[in-house]
Amino acid sequence: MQISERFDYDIVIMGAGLAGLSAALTIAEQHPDLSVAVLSKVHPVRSHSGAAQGGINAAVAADDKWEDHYYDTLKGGWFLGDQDAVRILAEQAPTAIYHLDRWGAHFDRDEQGHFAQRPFGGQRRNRTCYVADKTGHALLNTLYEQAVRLNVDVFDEWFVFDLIHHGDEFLGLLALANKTGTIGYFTAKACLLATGGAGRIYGQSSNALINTGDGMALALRAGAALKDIEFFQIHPTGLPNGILITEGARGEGGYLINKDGERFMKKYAPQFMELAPRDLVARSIQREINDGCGFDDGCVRLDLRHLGAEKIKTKLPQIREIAMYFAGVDPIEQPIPVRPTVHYTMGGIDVDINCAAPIKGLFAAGETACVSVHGANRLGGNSLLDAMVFGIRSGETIPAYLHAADGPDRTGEEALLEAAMDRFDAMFGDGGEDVPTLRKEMERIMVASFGLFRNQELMEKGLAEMTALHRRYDDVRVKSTDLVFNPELIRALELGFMLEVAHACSLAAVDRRESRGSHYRDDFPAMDNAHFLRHSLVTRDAEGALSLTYRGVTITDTKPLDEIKY
Amino acid sequence: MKGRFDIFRKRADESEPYRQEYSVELHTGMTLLDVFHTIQAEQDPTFAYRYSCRGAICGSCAVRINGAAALACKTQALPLAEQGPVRIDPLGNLPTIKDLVADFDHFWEAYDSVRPYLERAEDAHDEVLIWTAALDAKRFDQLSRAVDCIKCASCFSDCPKRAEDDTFFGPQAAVQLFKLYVDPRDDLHTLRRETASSPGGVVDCDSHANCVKVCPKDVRPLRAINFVKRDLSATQE
Repeated sequence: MQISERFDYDIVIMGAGLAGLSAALTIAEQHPDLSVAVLSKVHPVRSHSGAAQGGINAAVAADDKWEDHYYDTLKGGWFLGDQDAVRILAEQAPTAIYHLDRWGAHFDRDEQGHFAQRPFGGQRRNRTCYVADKTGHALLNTLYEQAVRLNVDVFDEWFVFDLIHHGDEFLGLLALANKTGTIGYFTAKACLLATGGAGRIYGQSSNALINTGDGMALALRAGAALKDIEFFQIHPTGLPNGILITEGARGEGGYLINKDGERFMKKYAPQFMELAPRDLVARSIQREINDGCGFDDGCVRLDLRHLGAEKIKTKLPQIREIAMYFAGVDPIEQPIPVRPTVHYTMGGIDVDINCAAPIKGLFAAGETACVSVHGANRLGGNSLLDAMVFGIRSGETIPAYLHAADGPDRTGEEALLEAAMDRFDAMFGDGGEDVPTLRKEMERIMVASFGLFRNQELMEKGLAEMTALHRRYDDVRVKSTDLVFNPELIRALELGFMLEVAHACSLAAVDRRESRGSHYRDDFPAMDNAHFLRHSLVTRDAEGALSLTYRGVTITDTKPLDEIKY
Repeated sequence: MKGRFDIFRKRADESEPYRQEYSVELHTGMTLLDVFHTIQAEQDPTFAYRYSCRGAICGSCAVRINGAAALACKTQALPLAEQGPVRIDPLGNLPTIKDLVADFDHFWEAYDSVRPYLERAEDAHDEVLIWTAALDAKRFDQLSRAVDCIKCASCFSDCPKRAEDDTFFGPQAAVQLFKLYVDPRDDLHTLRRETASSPGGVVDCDSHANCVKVCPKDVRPLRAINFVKRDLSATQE
């Protein structure tokens, strides 16, 4: 296959969800002299940011303080978040809300016309701004509208399959245009990876089918580290098929009940009940199910009936719709079957507070990055916020970087491109391994060994299985050479990305001999600050061998607690 | 039971489209998108269709099911297949690139033509904004529906007016226009009125109401169109 087009930009952004688009808008508004290309493997409005329902946190109320949001986020993350990064998140949150309002978001307002705020888990007051129960959808569409206003160059349905770098210097992205089959090379002085999470490595996931960790894998292959990648948030309430029922349902007063009709959260978090942090709620539900207190379908129930038809229809219309279409249940009349489902990737590409990776010119923001702000567990309402705050921030730090740095040295670029195209060509052929079979095996290993309850024996077995599985991927071959919307090719490339992330997760998880946030081990049930108040960093050498190192957590003003209680 | 699916196929080249029937074992809870995944994974790896969220919020997977546009991910397969072979086609009023993948260029051109964004001063934002003071309850309800629009192009696909007249911008663009037309924050209201009343705008809608029928999010585009039409004529003098 041949590279048939070359595009030269100052900045190329991979991913067009909230992080990628807010970065692009910030650059377009503040630095119209810089050229920006946004590449997305789907159309921007199909990005997974749009699936976020509940809301976005910000201390915008007159009687709220960013310091409180900061502390709640640190504590919710079991103090694994870097305090300088979490401070930026909390302090800049109101600005992100005002930007969104200016760009046209239709936030719900209270009777006085102020931003309405609902309660979300792990926070001591109502702090979550929202647009009914379609917040992500509304914000994503708002940003896309503004991208049209600002004439941002969007390359939709361009699938990035390789990142070209010379040593520790970024050079460009290789991408396939699904619509035409064209292969394009996008050169830039800087690249922002904003490709979202990797939740699809698990068999039970709330994530869109496109959340395959593309940016994370490309960064890892280029020599960057994946940080804290053992931390995958498991959302307490997914339908049996993984589709999410937002925490907003509990925020509005929904009850979790077991088969005896008991609000079982009183056993696990009597003060916060259903609004305890997600990891605690998820484990409580799984405990009930494991202890035989679930229903016959392996789920507990989320009961909204006492809220009444009117409130369900006005405050939670999308949840009602989802329950009806995907579980066949009308929550006005029946409780909804729910069980834990993988939801969010706390870990990601190791970047500093300016969103910069150790590779010159390479940046990352949003779920694909790990700055880190979420630590070992993310609070509800902080994911859209992370994408917005660090998307906007990268839109400021990248121009600053370009101002200070010379362009990359492009000597030897042709040879690198040839090698990359050889790798691409090697994807095609007959025989070998089958993508759906390998994908199912990966999903099974992740759920069985790296799910809600982890231990040494399970994870060592999982790591060995994953290592063997990853090796088998080398024999995957794509039969059809038609490059236009070739699902066989796309799914094969995505599986390659997912296996990188899954493998890295396995390695980091097995070595963390403590329980913290989403990483819960029944053989080490306590948090161990003396040994593990530190970030894991997984890197990969050119042959694909992974190695694990650690780095201390940045602590500026708040002493980490030795035990997390709510 | 085994369901039978009669599916439109077309290669990316100039060759003629053809139809192919697939038989898929179904169980309760399986959606039509699950059926597509099964076909792609187990029977034909080249079968092309769009997907992303599989939760009816991204708008990727709209196709025509027995002749009417709908989201594959939101359609239960079993009850459909019990009534006989299910006919699946790509969206209408758009060219087909490959199999069930429609070319959305015309759809997005219509969207872009209404200047689909809020225009206001760069430093503006509203600490205080009372929507219900700016809009009556019915318009506020319709605004909320307009925000729900997922741009799946079901309405565009099944609009008879668009089929006969491709200068009509279609129901989705009308919804997008309505959203801005009623927004008290927008600086372009005069231009919105011009766009609405120009040829190809809402005035060209023939009120077939297919858009209301097929919309998977109950956005009710015709209702938005009628609000704008009435407002245009009421404020004409």
